[in-house]
Amino acid sequence: MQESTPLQTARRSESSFHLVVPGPLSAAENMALDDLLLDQPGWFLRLTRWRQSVVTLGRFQPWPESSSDERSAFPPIHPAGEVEPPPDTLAAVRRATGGGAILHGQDLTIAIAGDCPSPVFPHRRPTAVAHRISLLLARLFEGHASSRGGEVHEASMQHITDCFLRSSPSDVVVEGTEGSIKAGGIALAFRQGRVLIEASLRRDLLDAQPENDLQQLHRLGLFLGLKVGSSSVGDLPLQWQGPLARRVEQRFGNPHWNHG
Amino acid sequence: MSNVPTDRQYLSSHEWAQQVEGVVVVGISEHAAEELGELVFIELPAKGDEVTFETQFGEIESVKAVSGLNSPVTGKVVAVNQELVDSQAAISDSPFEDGWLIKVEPAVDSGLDLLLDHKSYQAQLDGS
Repeated sequence: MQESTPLQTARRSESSFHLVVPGPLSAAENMALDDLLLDQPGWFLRLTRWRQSVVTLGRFQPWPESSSDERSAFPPIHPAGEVEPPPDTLAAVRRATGGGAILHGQDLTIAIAGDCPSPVFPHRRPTAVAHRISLLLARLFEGHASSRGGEVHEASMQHITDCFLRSSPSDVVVEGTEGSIKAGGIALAFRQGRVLIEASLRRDLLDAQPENDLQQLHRLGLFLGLKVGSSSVGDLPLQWQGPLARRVEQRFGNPHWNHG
Repeated sequence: MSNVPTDRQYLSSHEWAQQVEGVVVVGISEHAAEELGELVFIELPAKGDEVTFETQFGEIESVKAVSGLNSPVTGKVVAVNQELVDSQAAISDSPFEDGWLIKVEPAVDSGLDLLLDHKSYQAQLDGS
């Protein structure tokens, strides 16, 4: 499928995006905020900043058996030797989205939430949304990255805990001496005509410098055909704080739900 | 083109409802099953739980995407298709028969009169 240019896409959409850059927040707050954005009207592009290193699990992934030592309960996250978190600070939280486990802290974590179907994502089909966003993320790192493409074999990946050891057509990849290396993974959630897309991108492989994060988010918004709108940097809007606290209490910060 | 049986009603979010001897059988349409693709997990309510019209009652995961399942009826869950917990293949292979999700005893104000008939749902699919 031929991708539209940003200008072509922009002509189809009159929507603007709200840039959200809170925190750094706790693991539960971060996942609760993504979940909240899924239920809010409008388009949101979000830079996720972590208060500490954390593993996020896909919505239905099994929780590690050892709850007292979460770090040792996980198999190595990311290929050996890449990113090692301080072992005494690692926490885990469940996401609203699917997919595999991801270690955050030194990656570039972003989220997008908006209407689907819509001019931005005309089809509700998960593979179509994932394909489009994968192409656009790869385009952010032109010269470094591409979208893996190919066939979906999702069921055969379920026994692999680590997202970055799974293979999916929507992976953002870079070429290494021994073939493609996964540099970015995507997970999605659909609810009531809305979609949430969470993406983790390896800064080391993509040369993604933190000082360029906001510029890259703006570029992604334009690639999606959205206009630059308002922004919330630092503190969250007051009206979000109550719903966010409830989501933390009832779900993302609740051991019963997380371990569920 | 997806099959749209004439003997049931639909939500625009692609769930169907079929009234059988006072109980409402609920599932997702063939179109929805095709759109979702390869299914890997499902979470359904328990027997005895209450479900509400057009409100999420469960979740299903496919291709790294978790999708909410909306109830086409308000009432009490009287049966759950437990076979789907281990394998979701029936949803893809037989979404209108073996792939049913839950059975609901409808409340007085069930919402069933607000559902789309097969012609309206087919028109929605044709227009999408």
